[in-house]
Amino acid sequence: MEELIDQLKQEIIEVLSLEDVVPEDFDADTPLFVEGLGLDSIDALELILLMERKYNIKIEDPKERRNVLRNVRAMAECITSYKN
Amino acid sequence: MKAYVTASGVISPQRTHDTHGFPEHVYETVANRMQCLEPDYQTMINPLQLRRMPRILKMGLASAKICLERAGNIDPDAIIVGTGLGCLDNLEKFLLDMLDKDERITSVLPFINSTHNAVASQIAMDLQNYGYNYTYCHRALSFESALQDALMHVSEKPAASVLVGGIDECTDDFVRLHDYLGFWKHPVNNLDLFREPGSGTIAGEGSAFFLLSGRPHNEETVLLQAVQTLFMPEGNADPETVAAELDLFLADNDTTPSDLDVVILGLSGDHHDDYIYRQLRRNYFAPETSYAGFKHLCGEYYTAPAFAFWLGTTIIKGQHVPAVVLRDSEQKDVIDRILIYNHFKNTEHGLMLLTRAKEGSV
Repeated sequence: MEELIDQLKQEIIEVLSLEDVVPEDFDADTPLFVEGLGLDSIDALELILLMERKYNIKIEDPKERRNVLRNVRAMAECITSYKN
Repeated sequence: MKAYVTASGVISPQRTHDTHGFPEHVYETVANRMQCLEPDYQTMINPLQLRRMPRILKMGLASAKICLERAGNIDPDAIIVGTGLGCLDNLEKFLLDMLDKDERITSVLPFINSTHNAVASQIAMDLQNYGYNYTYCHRALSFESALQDALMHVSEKPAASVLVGGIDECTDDFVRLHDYLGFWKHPVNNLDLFREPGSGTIAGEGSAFFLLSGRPHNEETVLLQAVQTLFMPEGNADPETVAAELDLFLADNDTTPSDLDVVILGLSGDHHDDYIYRQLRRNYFAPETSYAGFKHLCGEYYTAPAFAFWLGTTIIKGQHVPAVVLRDSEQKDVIDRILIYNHFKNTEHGLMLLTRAKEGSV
């Protein structure tokens, strides 16, 4: 799980072009939106795409999307549960 | 229809973004492509916005901000942009992404930032400006078309300030594909461009913004008198046809060829294009006129006339034609009138007339 979390942090930085952010700046439980990393709705679309393209996970339900994208740990848990 | 040129902000392959007047040192390279010398964007654009912006948006927004700052942070009544290719880099990314992903869902940002009007809208959003906002995409006449629109605005509302610009970026794919069509020379020293025989030129790019107004704001010294575009779809206009159009254009502005102190020509180093300029120089313009070229400093691109426009305003303000742009002629003591003539592949021809402003000129 920790390995996946580190990998996701790196991917989020790359996909969202967070040039001044390094993986050590946020942890697995840091909120991604509004507070924490301060991401917005366009970033959310990019993260949904990341989940679809890289991990083949398509989340149709908006409520579940919000839940999965709340922080890196939730994303990692979602990916792990789909693998199993 | 005339307008004062109040201020300018230019990002180009020369160091124009932080110099007033013509830069002291000219950038020299041996290549078939010239790229912009860009400022530190972090000092002028919000970092949160910056991370989402492709290079062309950064160039456009930064040069617009430089221009407005030099004009005294005026909020323009209109924002008009000319661009031949728009946000080409992001368009390429978006289309390639569609191909790679078999036309399924693609990345969001390259799509949002792939439209031609992204630059004008980004400037408006940054300034919170809800005024007239328009983008002209008329290939090599894009900047001239934007200027014509700006002149109409000023004609209707002389107190209005219009931010008008020309912007294009050069990408790897653009250079590669146009190389197959014989657009470029083999790598050449840009300062030797006009001495290199044969066809082809150097690819270029740039972003130049100007604030125009019907009334002077401070000590403006340059007036845009008129702009005209000629579209020759057959690409075979002869110098006599262009001379006839020049006659009409100059006569409309109470000017004769011998009134022109400087003529800035769009010489590109490609003999297929340059013969028109050379013949006009021999047979049409007055012998005592000074001639200047500019594409050895910025390269060839659809809105290169915007760089020439900046060069013209700089020459009139400084009353000096820099030696590096002067072509086989001498500078006159007083520079009151400058004609800029550029054509692209003998298809799109643009004429711009600049004069030194005197009190009550408009």
